[in-house]
Amino acid sequence: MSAAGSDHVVPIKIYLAIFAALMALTAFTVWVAFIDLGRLNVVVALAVAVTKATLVILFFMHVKYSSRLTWLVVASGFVFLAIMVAFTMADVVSRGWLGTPGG
Amino acid sequence: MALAVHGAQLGNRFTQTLFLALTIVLGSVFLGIKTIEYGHKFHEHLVPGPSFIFEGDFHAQMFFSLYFMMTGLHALHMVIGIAILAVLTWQASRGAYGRHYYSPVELTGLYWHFVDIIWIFLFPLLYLIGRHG
Repeated sequence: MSAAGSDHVVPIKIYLAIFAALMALTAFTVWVAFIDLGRLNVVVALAVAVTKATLVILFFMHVKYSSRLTWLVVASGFVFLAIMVAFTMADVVSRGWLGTPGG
Repeated sequence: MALAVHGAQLGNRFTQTLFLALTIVLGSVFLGIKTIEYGHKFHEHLVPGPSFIFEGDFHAQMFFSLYFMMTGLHALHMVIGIAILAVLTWQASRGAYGRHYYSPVELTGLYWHFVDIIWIFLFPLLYLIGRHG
C-alpha cells in the first residue's frame, strides 16, 4: 500500500522477466495439451496454471514484498479455497458409492 | 497494468497514463475476440437450450453451459475493470496520482490481476483439457 511512498518499487526488469515467464508457460501448456499423457494432461495443465498464478500473486500483486500480515491473509485465502475444493471433491469422488435409488 | 502501477509509484504521469490506456486496449481486444467466439458458438448451435445441436454426447450441453457461465462472468469482471480503468486513466492524465498517493492505481491493479488469475485457470480448463484425444 502507499504509505507515504515507503513501498518497495519493483524494478521493470523483474516485471518483464515475469511477463516472459508467463508467456513461455502459456506456450508450453498449449503445446503439452496436444500430447496424450493420459490423466497426466489435467495434472500438467493445472500445475502450470498454479505456477503462473503464483508468479502473478508474488510479483504483479507485490505479495513477495509485502508484510507478514499480507502473507497470512493470502495464505488463509488458500486454506478456504482448499476447504471448498475438498468438499467438492468429496462429492465427485464418492458419487456412485451407494448406487442410485430405484436403479 | 503492473507497469502502470510502477509508473504511479515513481510519480511518472505519462507512463502511468500510457500503460493504463494500453491495459484498456488489450482488455478490449480480449473481449472482442470473445465476441467473435460467441458468434461462432451461436452459429454452430452450441448454445444450450432448445436449438442445441451437437453430434455426440448429450451431456455436452453441460460443458457449454459451464463454458458460457464462466467466460460470461469473466467478461463481466473485465467490463467492470475496463470501466474503472477508464476513470483511472482520465484521473491519471490530470496528475491525480504520484509518489505519495497511488492507492487507487494499486488497488485497481490488484483487481485486474485477480481477474487475470481467473483466466489463468479457466483457459486450460475450458480450452486445453481433453484436446489431445
